[in-house]
Amino acid sequence: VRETPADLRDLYAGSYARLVGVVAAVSGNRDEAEEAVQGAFVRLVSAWDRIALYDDPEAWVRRVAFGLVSNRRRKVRNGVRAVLRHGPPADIVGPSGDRIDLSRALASLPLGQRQVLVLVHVVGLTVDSAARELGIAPGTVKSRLSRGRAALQPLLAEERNAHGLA
Amino acid sequence: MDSLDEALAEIADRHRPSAQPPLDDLVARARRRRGRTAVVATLAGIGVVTVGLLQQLSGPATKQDVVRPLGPTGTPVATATCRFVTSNHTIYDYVDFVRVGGVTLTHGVGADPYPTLHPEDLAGVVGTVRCRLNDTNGRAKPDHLQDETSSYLSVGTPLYAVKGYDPACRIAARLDGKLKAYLALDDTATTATAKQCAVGPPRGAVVGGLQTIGGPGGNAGGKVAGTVVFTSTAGKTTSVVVGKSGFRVWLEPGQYDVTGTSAHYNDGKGTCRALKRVTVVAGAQATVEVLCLLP
Repeated sequence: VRETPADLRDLYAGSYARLVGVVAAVSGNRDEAEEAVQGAFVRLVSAWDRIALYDDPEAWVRRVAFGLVSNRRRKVRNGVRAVLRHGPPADIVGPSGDRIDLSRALASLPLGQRQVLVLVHVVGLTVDSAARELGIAPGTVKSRLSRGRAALQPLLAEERNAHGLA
Repeated sequence: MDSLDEALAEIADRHRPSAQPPLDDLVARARRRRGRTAVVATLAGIGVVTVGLLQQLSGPATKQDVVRPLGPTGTPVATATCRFVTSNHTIYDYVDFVRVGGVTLTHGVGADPYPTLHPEDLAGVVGTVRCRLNDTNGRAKPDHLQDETSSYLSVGTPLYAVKGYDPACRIAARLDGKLKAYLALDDTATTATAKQCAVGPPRGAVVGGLQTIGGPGGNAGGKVAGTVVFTSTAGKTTSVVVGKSGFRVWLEPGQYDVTGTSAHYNDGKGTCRALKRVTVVAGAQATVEVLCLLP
């Protein structure tokens, strides 16, 4: 049995929590995100000899995890599998009242819009990089960003006003 | 956009887990997955699924990568007369399989040693490959495959029954001039294992039906649905659900008593019988009619 490479262990230790957070921000469900990220790492283990040569293996894992989330949306039974594997949803630190609205608003957006919002605003990718990662045109990224921001900005404005009044 | 950055980052941070499973657990899952992929694939009607991405096709993900223009996800792509649904985010690495008669049969997995075939083993043609998934460069989803679709067999390739085997268990086809066996896998197995009917000794086919005869004026007879039971001389029984169109079953060579029941005969309480034992010979076909005698 071959020993797991040290650089793979480092990548896993350093990126797992961050990837789960990012994917969960897109999917709206941490259990589903953990299942997807673990599934992506399972695939990474098998392909490590090749992926290790990439500039950014974490981006590969993130993209595979996004793909798994997209696939799972079409398979409700996988949601059941995630619950079986991880147990009931874990207690997540409760968001503030403002963030509840924002989380709900984010969750109500189409998956594609959530993906570009998170890649650009959380991961910090450029429009072109996000387009490469998602395999879509930069123009599509821009339009999804625009629509997503338009849907979320009113809530942020309310939040700022509320804080201003306080 | 700072506030949006902060808000979304806070959402992502909130979902961060405080613990993570040991990497060794995932390594073990990867090993199990490698052994299980063929079975999973067959259940889905395809070969091994690799959730790969554009980088896999275009090499290392450098910032200078050129993204290949692709159709939108879900866009049907026509190859010859076949239509497949494709994915932008998934590359399918198909195993060598063919679907015929509503059954997916694969080559190269599920049996060790793997059966070899010779031209004299072939029976009639059971189909012809009409669609080939590999023509989509691995982008076709394995969903809703129509009959006579293969991953690698060329369009027009004849699919042969194999003497002594139910075509739902084993068929044959030529790829690159070589005769290859395609076996049905056992869906209930946890590893890629061929069905017993695909790798066991040759069997013989028995065709026939369940019918009532006699009755008032002799006009009450006709084909009926029910169950037929074959009992070997060793006492082993094989049950077959029968429709009005009759049945076709593959049995080990030997002699069998044949009985049956039908809801249309004495409310299912009467026993229907064949007039004589049926003899099953490997690679041959026998015929038996199971009769429900009406007074």
